[in-house]
Parts: sequence; C-alpha cells; structure tokens
Amino acid sequence: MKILIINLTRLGDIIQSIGLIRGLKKKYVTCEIDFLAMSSFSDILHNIPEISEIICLNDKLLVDEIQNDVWSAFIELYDKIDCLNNKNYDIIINPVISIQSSWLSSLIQAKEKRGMIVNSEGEQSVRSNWSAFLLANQHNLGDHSFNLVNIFSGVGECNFSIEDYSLKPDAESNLYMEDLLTTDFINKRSKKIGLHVGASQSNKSWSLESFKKLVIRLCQNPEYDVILFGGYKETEIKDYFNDIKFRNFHNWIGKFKLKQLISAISHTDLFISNDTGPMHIAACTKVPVINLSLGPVSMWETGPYSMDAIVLQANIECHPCSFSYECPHWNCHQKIHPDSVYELTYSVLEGLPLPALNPDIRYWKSAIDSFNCIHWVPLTKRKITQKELLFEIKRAIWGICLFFDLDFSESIMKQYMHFIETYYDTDRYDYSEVFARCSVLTENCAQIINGLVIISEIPQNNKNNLDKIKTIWSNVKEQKELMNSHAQQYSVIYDWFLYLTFTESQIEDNDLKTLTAKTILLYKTLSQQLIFLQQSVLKYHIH
Amino acid sequence: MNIDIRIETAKDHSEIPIINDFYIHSKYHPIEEGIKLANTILEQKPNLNIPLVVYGLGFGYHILPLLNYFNQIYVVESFSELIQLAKNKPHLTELFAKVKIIQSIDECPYISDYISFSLRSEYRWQEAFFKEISNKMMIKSSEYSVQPDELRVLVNFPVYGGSFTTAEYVSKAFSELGCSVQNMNNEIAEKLLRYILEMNQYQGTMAQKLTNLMSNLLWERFISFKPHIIFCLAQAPIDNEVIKAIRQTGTVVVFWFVEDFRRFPYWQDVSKYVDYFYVIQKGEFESLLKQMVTTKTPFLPMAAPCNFSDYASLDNSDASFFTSDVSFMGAAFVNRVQFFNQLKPQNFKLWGTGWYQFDQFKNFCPLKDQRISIAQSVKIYQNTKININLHSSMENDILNPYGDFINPRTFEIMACNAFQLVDDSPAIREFFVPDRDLVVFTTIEEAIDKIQFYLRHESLRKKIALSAYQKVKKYHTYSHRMKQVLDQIISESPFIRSCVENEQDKLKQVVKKINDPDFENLIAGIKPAMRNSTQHIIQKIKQSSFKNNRYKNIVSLLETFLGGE
Repeated sequence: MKILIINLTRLGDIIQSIGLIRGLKKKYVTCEIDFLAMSSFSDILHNIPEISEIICLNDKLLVDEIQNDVWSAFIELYDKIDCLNNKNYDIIINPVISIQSSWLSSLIQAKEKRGMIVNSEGEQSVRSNWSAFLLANQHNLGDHSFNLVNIFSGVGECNFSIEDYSLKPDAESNLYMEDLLTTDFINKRSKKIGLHVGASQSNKSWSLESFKKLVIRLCQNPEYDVILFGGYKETEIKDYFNDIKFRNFHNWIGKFKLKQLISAISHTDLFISNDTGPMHIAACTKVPVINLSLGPVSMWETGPYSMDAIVLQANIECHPCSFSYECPHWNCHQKIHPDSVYELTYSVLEGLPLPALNPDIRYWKSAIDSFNCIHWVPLTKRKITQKELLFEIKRAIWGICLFFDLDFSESIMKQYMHFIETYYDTDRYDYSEVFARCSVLTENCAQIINGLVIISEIPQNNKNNLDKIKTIWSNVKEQKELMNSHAQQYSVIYDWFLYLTFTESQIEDNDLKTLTAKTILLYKTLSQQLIFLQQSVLKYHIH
Repeated sequence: MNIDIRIETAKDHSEIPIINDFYIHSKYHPIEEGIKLANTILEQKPNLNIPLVVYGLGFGYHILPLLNYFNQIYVVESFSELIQLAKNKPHLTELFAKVKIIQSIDECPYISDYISFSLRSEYRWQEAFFKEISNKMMIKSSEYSVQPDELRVLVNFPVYGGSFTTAEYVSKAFSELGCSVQNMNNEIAEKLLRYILEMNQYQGTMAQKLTNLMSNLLWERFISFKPHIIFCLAQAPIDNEVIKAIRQTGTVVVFWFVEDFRRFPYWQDVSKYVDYFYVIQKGEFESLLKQMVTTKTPFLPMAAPCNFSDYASLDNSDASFFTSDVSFMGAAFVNRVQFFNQLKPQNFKLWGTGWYQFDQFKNFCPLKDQRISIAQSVKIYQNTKININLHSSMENDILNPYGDFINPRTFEIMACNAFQLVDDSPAIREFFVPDRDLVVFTTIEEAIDKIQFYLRHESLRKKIALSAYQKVKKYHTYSHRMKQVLDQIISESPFIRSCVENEQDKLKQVVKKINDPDFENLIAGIKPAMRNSTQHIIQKIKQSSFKNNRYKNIVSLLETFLGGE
C-alpha cells in the first residue's frame, strides 16, 4: 500500500505529523509512506526512518520568486503533480487545512483521500470529521480543544500514541555536541537550560527583555548552564544578549543546522520556549518543556505533547486572540513575569515543591485523558471555573462525536468527568444561558428537520408538488439562516454549527430523498449534542 | 554587519575560519569535505572551458581540487577580513594566483555562460550579496533582437502641466509600436500639490513628502508590472532613491526633459540619477550637461502625434467658429503680449489663457480665458490661414534670443496640414526648410510683411503646409521619437536584451515541455511582453476554455501561493 501525507505548513506542524506517520505504519504494516512538504521545512523528515520518500516543493520558486518568475513556479507544480500521479497512491492524507495542501490533495490521484481537499468549485471540502472539527474551530482559537497530534491521527484514521512522538539525533550531531560542550566549558554534571528566543510571528514571542531577565537570574546559579537557541535568521537577536558576561551563559543563536539542533536540545535538561518549531523538537526528544503560550497561540492546538510538559498562559480573557489581531496592550506577554518563570524552572529542575503561583498566570501540565488525547490540566489542583467546566463538558461531547460515533451515553461522559475531577475541584454555576440558548437552537433544528421530513415525503411527480418542495425548501433555508444568527451570538456552540455546515456541504446525492435523509441526520445529531450538553451541564447547574 | 573571525585547527590539522562562532568548514576533516563538495561539480561532467563561479571563499578547501580542471574561476566573497586571512595561508597561494575574487558588485563581470556552486555555510551572512552578483551575472552578452512587442514600458506622468499631454502622446506612441504599456497617472496628486504650492510655510518639505508618496506608489506599480523601461516626463514625481532602487534591478529609467532648462533648474538634480536624460535643447544645455553629469543626455526634439488631425472629431463646434485669417494659440507670456501689441493684424483671433485680461485683446478672444482642448486646437490650426507660432521667452526680448528648441506647436500645426509663421531659430532650420515647410520671421516688420503676402497667396500656403505635413508624418511623430528611444536603449542595454531573451527562452522551454497545442495557442494569443506577467498569465489561463482543467487547477493553486497563505 502506498500512502502520501501532504503537509505544506511549518516545522511545528510537520513534527506534529510524526505520530500520524508511525500510527499509519502500525496500522498498515507493509505500507510505504511518502511525505510532501515545502523544501525549507523538510530537513526534519530525514530523521524519520518510517518515511520512504520525501518529496519537496521548492519554496524558493513558489514563494520567494513567484512574482518574478511565474513559469518556474508553474512548472514546479506541473512536474511535481505529474510525478506524484505516477506513483499510484492508495491513500492521500491531508491533515491540515491549508488551501495549498487541499489543492494538491485534489490534484494528485489516489484511491482514497482523507482530510481536506478542494471541490470542483475550488472551495475547500472536508473528507474527515476531524478536518471539519479543525476547520470549525478556526473562528475562535479559544474554543479549540484538541491537539493537532490527535487531530492528525484522527484524519489519518490511526491510533494516537504519545510514545510515537520521538526524534533521535544522529551520531555525527551527537559527536559534534559532545565536542561543543567541551569547548564551551559546559560541565557534564551541570543542569543545562535551553531557551529559544523568537518565533515565526512577534505576537507569539515573549519579549527579549523578559528573556534577558530570566537568563540573568538563571545564570546566577553556577550549577546551571544557560543556553540560548535561535534560528540563523535570528542572529540580530543574538547581539541583544551579547552584554551578558556570565561564564555559564552560552549564546548559541544561529549556531545549528536542524539536525544538530535535535542533538543540542536533547542534551538540555529543560527547554523554555515560545510556540516554535524547536519547542516541538524538545517535546519529541523528551526534554521537559516549559512553553510560553502567548498571543494567538492555542495551547490546546499546539502545546507540547510530552508528559510533564508545562504551559504558562496569562490569566486574561482575551487570550488566545487571533493571528491577524493587532493588540494594543500585549498584556498576555507582560503578565508572564520572568521571576515567575524562574521560580517554576528552579522548582522543576531541583525537584522541589512548586513555588507560590502567580495569580496573573495560568499554569498547566500535560496529561492523557480518557480519550487517550493530550489534555491540559492545572499544575496544582484547584477549583474549576464556570467557563472551564463548560469547556470540558463540551470537549467531552466533541470527543463522543469524533471517537465514539455519537454514542451520547452517560458512561463515556462519566468517565471523562472523573478524569477532570482528578485535577479540579468542581462546583455548581449558573448555566441558565446554556439552557436557554440550547433550547432555542434545538427548536431551530426541529423546524429544519420537520421541513426536511416533509420534503422527503412529497412525491416529485408533478409540478404542484415540485412547487411545494420549493416553498418548503425556502422556509428551511430561512430557518437555517435564523439558526446561523442564533449560533453566532453564542460562541460556545458556534463551532458545532460550523461543523454541521461543513459536513452538510459535503453531502452530494442526486436523489432528493437520500439527500434530505442525510441532512436530517446531521441536524438530529446537532440536536442530540445540544440536548446532551444541557443534560450534562444540569449536574453542575446551580438551582 | 559585525563579524568576528577567528581561526581554529581542525582534527586533520588544517586551519579553518570561524565566523561569529560558526564553522565555515568541517571542524574534523575540512580537506575531505572540500574534496566531496568539489566532486559534486566534477560528477556532473561540466564543460571545463566555461568559467566556474564559486560563492564563498572560506579557506578554499572546496576550490583547491578544482584549480586544475577549470580554465577560469571566479570566487565571490565580500568579507575583506576573510580574504586577507586567506591570503596569508601558504596552502592558498596557488589559489590566489589562479582565481579572480569578486568582492563587490562593481567588480562583477558580464559572463556569457558559467557554472556555479556555493559554500553554503557562508550564505547566512552573504545571501543578499550572492544573489545580487548572481543576478548581474545573468546578464549574458545577448545579441537577441528585441522586438517592441516584447517590451513592457511604464510611463510616469507629471501631476499636471504642459507635459501631461506629451505623456499621453508618448504612451500612445509606445502602444502603437507594439509595446505593453502602463501609465502611472499621478493626477490624483494634483489637488494636494496645488494646495501645497499655496502654503505660506513648509512648502518644500510638503512637496518632498508628496514626491516620496508618489514615488512609493510608482515602486508598487513597478513591482507588479516589472517594466523593462520606465519613461518619466518632465515634472513626473520620482524620488532619487526610488530611481536608484529601480535601476539596480536592471530596468532602464528614462527622463524626457521637455522644458526650457533656463526656466526649470530641477534638471540639475534628476539628470544625475537616471539612465537616459533626453533633452529638447542643444548648444548651451548640451555643454552644461556634459560638464555636470555622466548620464547619457541625447537630444530628442518634440513631435506631433500620428493622426493628430483626427482629434478634431472630438469637438462638436462648427468649424466656422475657429475660422480666421491670422490666429495664435498659446498662453499670454510677456514677449507674446508685446508682439501682438505691435502686430495688430486684421481678422485676428487669440486662443488660450491670459489674453482676455488685456483690454486691447478682449475682442479677439472668442473663448475668452478658457483653456483650449486638443480637439479645439486642431480646429484652430486647420481653419486659420496663417498660424502665428511665437516661442515663449523669459528674456526681455520679444523673440526668444536663444532659439535652441522647437516647441510642440511647430510640429502640431504641421501635423494638421496647416500653414505657420514662426520665429526663426537655428533649431527650426536644423529640421525644416524655410519657405518650403514653414515661413520664418526675425522682426515684427518682417512678420507683418509676410502675413500680408501669404494672405494673398493661398496656393502657396497650401503647398508649404502640405510639404510640412508630409515631413512630419515621415520623420517627426511621437512614434518616430519613441522608436529612436527604444532603438538606443535596446542597443545599449545588455540587461534588457538578456532579460527579454531569457523571458522568451524560458517560455519556449515551458511550451515545449507541456507539448499541448491548446496551451501553445493560448500563449501565442498573449502579447509577448505580457507572457511572463504572473497576474496576467493566471488571469488568461483561468479565462481560457481548455478542454482539460489541469492548467486552470495549477494556476488556482499558484494563486494561493501568491496570496502568501
């Protein structure tokens, strides 16, 4: 069997595909897995032996020079698509929602396609519930509740295992690192703390000033060696730290090629980072990670997926925001104070009890929940907030939809909440709004379902009937628009509505009866979700 | 940028440079690594008679194995400190004897064909420089015969003023020659400029800011259209830094100074920055320019549009409204007012701005103080027996004492097959024969005499007008001028020849590769100059009616990369 995985996004997303690759290999033992990626991010794939062939799209032609040389870009795509079509893939998996990946998934032939593709009208179209989930959650990253590692495995229809996420440094790089540690006078017995400054966007990146303060505090402990990492494009940032003169400070920004970086990070004892590719490398080399989740970053979507990973978020309502948002205050960066990060780092490294937690920060640690998915739970057990509780209940329902085939049973929810209650103290809150909103939407669903049922029962054998169908269809459409406006006003469940919309748009059938039957099923499912939400929330509702 | 270079000894006892703590060669076996790198070139069985260009000197371990193979090797390296350190190394003596180091863009030769490879470790600091050199080296000494329809020309219009019309004619002429033309129409800045000119303070600063803004807009247009030539008319807003940046890409920047240099001294600045500074005055101006600038400053006189008389159809007025024995069309400059004060002809009409304010002329201004449109000017010329053409003068004299340029009116009257009486000058005599193409005068008395004579001799007037008309059509249209410009630029600009040749070659390769008659037909239907325009190609392919959707799908995918997703 031949499988092609397409992932044209950045380094972090590619690393988050490692589990998908290994999961597929376990499921289809004799399969060959090829991987299509952009050339500048493909180096990491050479560290994954399960990949048979790495195919690269030349991003110099397709990104840097496309305005000046359209034909080279055209031929690059023409040739690659041609070449890939000759490979006769059985399955193509596009786990991401990038429009480029979706187009390629459509243009390359295969017996089966999973994930996002582009339809005949040039619009993105989902071929997996998980892709629909991912797409539906883009409207509000605060609602995002599953890590890409789980989503990718879901799209690929294989099992997720946290053990699959590992990267092994090569021998030469290890040799290089051993030498470097010696020449830079790094004591083998010292505790090495790696910090990655910079990120692909400035809104995701902690300020250099904060990093500097943290570095200075860490350097004051002679048993630590503090190592700065950064890409070679971050060499301007390197100069910012040149005035730090501690013997145990090592400014290695721009020093490593990607292969060497894996080895370098694996030699650290703790890695502190923004949401960046190297953070994902750290997660895969099993180095304990402290991730600073800032700006538009959703820790649920891209947080580090290793055990004992820690995420710090500012305790403010507006985080995460969106990638295009221009923030006037950057409070989420400022609230994470270098001293708080230092105190946490110290306690983790020394195996000491946790320090007093800063109330401006939310502290999270990684766990595996009852769905066998990456979960974020509070570092110390505390009372769950009203918003968090609703989030968890909703997440559970998502899990039921995605894992348990809509089995809205008490037992699954109970199991999930039992997991939650291990880490939180629950309480009762006023969820009247949930009931009210869900009731309105359930009523909308009912109207739509009624209309569709009537349509499906009208024989299409004469003009009168066809006119009737037209009228009722128009009413159904109105109801959908009404439902859309109600759903938009209640962001808590808007992603469910979007999910339904995406899935509905995939329904294609020439037979009206079958078409309406499939659509009815979708709305019934949404109804069930809404009702189940109400029932689940009832247990925690203050009467 | 600050670089810090130190030397270390590798495991194989060779010395290696370390730049900003980054090893340029392997710290274990740099010699072996160098041989491996050199072998990647030799394995391709290259033509050893063409030059090898190596990006990055390092300590030469990757170059030494190739010294005995290639006849000519260029090494591109901008770090002088590294070069100096390398020169002190005995193992590199032979290298420096045989290779040529290119340390700056000025040292970059034109090489018709070459092989290249890079020392990747040096890219992190010198990528931009290497790219600049690479781009310049792409300029082959091409003998390609560039056709006008393979050229993209961007005409940069003035904000307003007399040369605005000239810009329109220039643009049309380039189009008529077959070029793909876009206009950078700066009219939107007119209101702002007029406002600035009325300010009591900060006029200069504000005007400069406006020029900067318009230049930035020009830059944006340059990026999207990628013209081979940018043709600026007098008073077109363009910043010197933008001119420099455009020229660095290889595009030729032309400025046509269609003004009197004595009246508008800004030429002293702009002439230094462009590739070609065309002028309409000879003699003193030419000498001044030779002393002051090294830019090419060819003479390019004004002209008339092809089919100028066709413009008359744009005006619906009756021809009789414009009929007169004698008329003058133009602004009421001082010398002209003095001239007509003395001339006082019968059956006389004055057209243009400024005349109506003078009591003595009020009765001769049918359109009072109104600006005259092109269509109206054609009708005036065609329906006047004797068109007076008096060049403007800033001096106290009535007649322009310098006589070193020909105004556009001279050509326009001729293009209307009309008769003119014009002030004599060496410039006029250089192009036209008095009493055959036009009639000249040097004093007011002479003008009066000749008016009276030619009013009585209609057939002679018509004969002279016809001769002039034929001459203008044959030699003095804007198409002729722009052809002259194109011929000069193409013959003197290897970059444009090479660029166009590369564009057309690349396309031939693409068509050959795709090997589909439908595709080939689509390309054939696109103007050659636009066959490499990204947006244009995408649009054309999307709009086409290919049986196979494959190409449309590929361009749809291409578009997503353009969107920067």
